[in-house]
Amino acid sequence: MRQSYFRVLQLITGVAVFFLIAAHVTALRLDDFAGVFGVHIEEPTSWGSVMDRATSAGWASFYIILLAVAIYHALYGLRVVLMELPWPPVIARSLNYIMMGIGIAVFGYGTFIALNAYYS
Amino acid sequence: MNVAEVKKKPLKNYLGIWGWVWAGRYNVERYLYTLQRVTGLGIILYGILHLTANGMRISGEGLWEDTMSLFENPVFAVGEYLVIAAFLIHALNGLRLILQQLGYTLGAPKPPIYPYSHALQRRRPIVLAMGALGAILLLLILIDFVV
Repeated sequence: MRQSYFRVLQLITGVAVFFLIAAHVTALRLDDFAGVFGVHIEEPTSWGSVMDRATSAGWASFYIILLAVAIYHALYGLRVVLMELPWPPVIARSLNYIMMGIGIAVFGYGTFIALNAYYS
Repeated sequence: MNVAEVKKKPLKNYLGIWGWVWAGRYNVERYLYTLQRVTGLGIILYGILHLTANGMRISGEGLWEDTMSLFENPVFAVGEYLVIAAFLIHALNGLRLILQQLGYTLGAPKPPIYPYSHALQRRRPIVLAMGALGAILLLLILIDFVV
């Protein structure tokens, strides 16, 4: 895929991650804002509430999609920042692969946590 | 400084990491770019902590409740607010950049009549509008946090 497509994907994931994180933060942390949308979650960080969400297919899918979109957006942005640093040539050449490796590892870890709780 | 000294120590056009923080007397948009980076890196750092803390639930209810009790400290509430503020600043500035990059803020072409205005001046109202929207939302979120 051409570099410009990855850049376009960065813009698309930027918009997507905005809505997903806004929904996540509003539902779990901003009671008054959530109330406007008819959402009310009692004690969102209590074990019971966390496991209720973790075992719901809708919430589990939401978290996995959010994770994937956020990881792409974060790592593409971080890559742009890191590319400006004077790395040794070996690291500069492998930066894309390092970022992809980190992305896959973090997505794997996050998905494992989500699925482990979902099937518990 | 005479000519010989200038030749001896040429000015660098590469400012390094310091250039991210301070690049001279540029427009506000140049420093919004710095803010975009700082907030982005801050959100990534928070994301690592958030994922690590969420991973605690795999060890069961006891460790989860112990971890969550740590976050009841008011210092963490301030930290949470700063993370939300960073997210909002990054999102609104990012939206401005997307609109600019896709050409929606160019406006209709017009003849160059003196006194000329440059592109940043013509787009400044968008910066001000995003800033005002961000300030209102941050205030509402602060009220939600405190009340």
